[in-house]
Amino acid sequence: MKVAATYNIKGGVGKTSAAVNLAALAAGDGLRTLLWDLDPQGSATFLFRIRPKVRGGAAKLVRGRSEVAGLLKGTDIEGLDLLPSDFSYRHMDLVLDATKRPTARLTRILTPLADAYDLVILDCPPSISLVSESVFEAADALLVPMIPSVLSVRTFEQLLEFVNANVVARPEIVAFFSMVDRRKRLHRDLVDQLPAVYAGIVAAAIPAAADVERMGGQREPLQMFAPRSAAARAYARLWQETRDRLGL
Amino acid sequence: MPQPVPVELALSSDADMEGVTRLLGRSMPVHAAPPRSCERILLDSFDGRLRERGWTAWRDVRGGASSPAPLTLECPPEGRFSGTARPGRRDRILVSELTDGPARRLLEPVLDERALLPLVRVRARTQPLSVCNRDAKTVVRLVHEDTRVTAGGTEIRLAPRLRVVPVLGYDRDFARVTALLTGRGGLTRADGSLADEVMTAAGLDPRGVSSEVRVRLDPAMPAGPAMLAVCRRLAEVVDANLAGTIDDLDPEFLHDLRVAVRRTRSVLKEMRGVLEPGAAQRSRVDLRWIQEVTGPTRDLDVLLHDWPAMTAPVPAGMAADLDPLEQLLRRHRAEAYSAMRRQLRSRRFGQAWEDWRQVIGGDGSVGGPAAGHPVGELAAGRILSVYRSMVKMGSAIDDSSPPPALHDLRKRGKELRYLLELFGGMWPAKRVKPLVAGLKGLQEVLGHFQDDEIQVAELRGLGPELASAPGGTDSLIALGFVLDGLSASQRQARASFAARFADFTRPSTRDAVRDTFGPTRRHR
Repeated sequence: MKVAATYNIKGGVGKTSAAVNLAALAAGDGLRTLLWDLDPQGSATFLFRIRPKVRGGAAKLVRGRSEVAGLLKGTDIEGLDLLPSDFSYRHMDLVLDATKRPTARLTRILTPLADAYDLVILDCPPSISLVSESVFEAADALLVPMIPSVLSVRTFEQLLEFVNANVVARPEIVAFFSMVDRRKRLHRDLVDQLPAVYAGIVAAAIPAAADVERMGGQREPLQMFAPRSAAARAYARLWQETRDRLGL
Repeated sequence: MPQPVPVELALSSDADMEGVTRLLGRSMPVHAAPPRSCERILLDSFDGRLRERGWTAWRDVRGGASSPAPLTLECPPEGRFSGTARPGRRDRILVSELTDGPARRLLEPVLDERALLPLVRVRARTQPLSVCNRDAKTVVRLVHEDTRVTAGGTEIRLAPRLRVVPVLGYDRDFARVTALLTGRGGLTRADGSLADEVMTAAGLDPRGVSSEVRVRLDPAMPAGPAMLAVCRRLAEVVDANLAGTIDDLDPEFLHDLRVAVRRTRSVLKEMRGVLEPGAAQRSRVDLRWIQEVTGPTRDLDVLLHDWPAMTAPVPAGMAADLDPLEQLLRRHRAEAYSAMRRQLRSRRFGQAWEDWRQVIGGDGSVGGPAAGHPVGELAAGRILSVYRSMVKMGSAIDDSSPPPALHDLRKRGKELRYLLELFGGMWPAKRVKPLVAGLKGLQEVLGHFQDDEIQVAELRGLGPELASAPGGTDSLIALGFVLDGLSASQRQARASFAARFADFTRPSTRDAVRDTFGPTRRHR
């Protein structure tokens, strides 16, 4: 079982869209896939029309008092299950902090599912916290969406520094450009130049497209309602690159 | 993680589907997805190992021999798994040809060396439907399946089925939908699995082909017809496994064929005087020849099967040095197989087998002097005699006995085992079982000892050829570790012999053998 996490310190950069579309593509490729919506906002859960409710909340789950298999929900896509969000996840930092070896907790929660899934995608909340550190320890790869802007690049550098300095078993960093508007010169320049500077940036770039925004109305991954759109093709390319990096 | 198991319902006609959507649509929205068509092939091992576990495997009919073959493995309650077989032969898929993943991991211990064989080709048109909740979320999946079986140049349409597939975490909706369909909807559960129905429609036994020999015998039955019944069943096993042996589908075909021939030879030897002596003698010669021409391939199959365990003592850094040796073994195996195939296709084999069929084709009324004796009495006498001879042979074995002494005891043990397997059903199982258990334990160490002996000889014999091969010198050094490992394992088997033999000859077993098979107390 491989674990990949869509993560960025910044919010609103396309983490959930990436998590949902990549999970759908993985399941479409026949991989038994689980998406864990770790964000208390529950956007990924909403997109799959599933109630954002976990019996016992974050506390029971983190303390190992809930059987994780009993909390899963099948999505409308065969082969893709979801561990839903719960509003109590907003306190996950505190719950983790009260446990022994908090950064190993997410790995421990996922361990019983190791034979049941080929891929787990963690859709993470923004910010850098104990939850993020647990994610870094659990993940084989961090999928980092990055808007082509100077501030985004700065945040990406902060993430690299943090991971290099604090994480022993470092996940592979797979960064990709998100919400790219090729009409903007800065976007074009950064998309063309940055991959030469940072080795972890892959070629796939997700365009700023109305189709991605429509996911909220459709409540489905792009592959379900606009499979031939430019954004869907970009996610498909990103999935191929991610799959190769994960060795799946 | 156990997955919810789908339910299959029988539909009497296509019109039933309209009723299904109408019925469910009253309380829950039902959405139809575009229909799909596919062609696929049902797979199982020759002996139906997947079916025995309630599993089903399908191969998509896509691409040619040079394309990977996509597989779907349905293993309730574990779930449904996809896998891909590397391009290769289209008449079989070996587990080792599957890409790593859950399907391979599940199949490995079940199939071992058995191949998955393409059994029946089907064309299916499926109509998926989603039963949704108020949020338009799919909570139950329905699949209307219309399957056509292609067999013998014709196409047979099966009765349509409705598969009700639960969605994880929505158990209550699944129960509700199933109850509605089977209650007010009046649908009934399909009789057996789709795979069974497909097999039956194609004229095949869904259970696969068994190499077991279970012939019901009455102890009072004359030995002639009884022995012929046993030999005919053994001949059926040979016939069933011959094509797979010739086509080299997997090593188990040859193994089962050889066991059936060996059992037949054993019956001929032990039940001497039942068949007409001249015919029996000619048949024994022919059957021995079949054993001889199939032996080298089987020995190499065993060696290659044991290869990973055998090479375990080789230090990791030297493991690659064994590659030339493994290649050499595989080449020898290919040569042995070609020679065997030639013999099995030869006129001599055809004639020998036809002659044997003639011998066992009669009703047993014409036979040797013992043909009219009750089979129970005759078999009991032989079981008792072989057991006693084993006790005598084994008691004479000590630490200084040469390997052939253990080998001879093993051969005798096989004869006893075959007598018990083929004729032991005439006695109460509780009396036969302790003897079988003791014999099994003894045969295990003797088999271990003998296999190691053969493998050491086989590998040593390759030395000169290996030395002249590229990389041969390094391979010879690594071979030293393999031979050391085999010798150690053989010593261990030898050390276990005394305890196992004591178990086989313990007073309670001796008493049971005497009481069960002795002359005055038979067939109680």
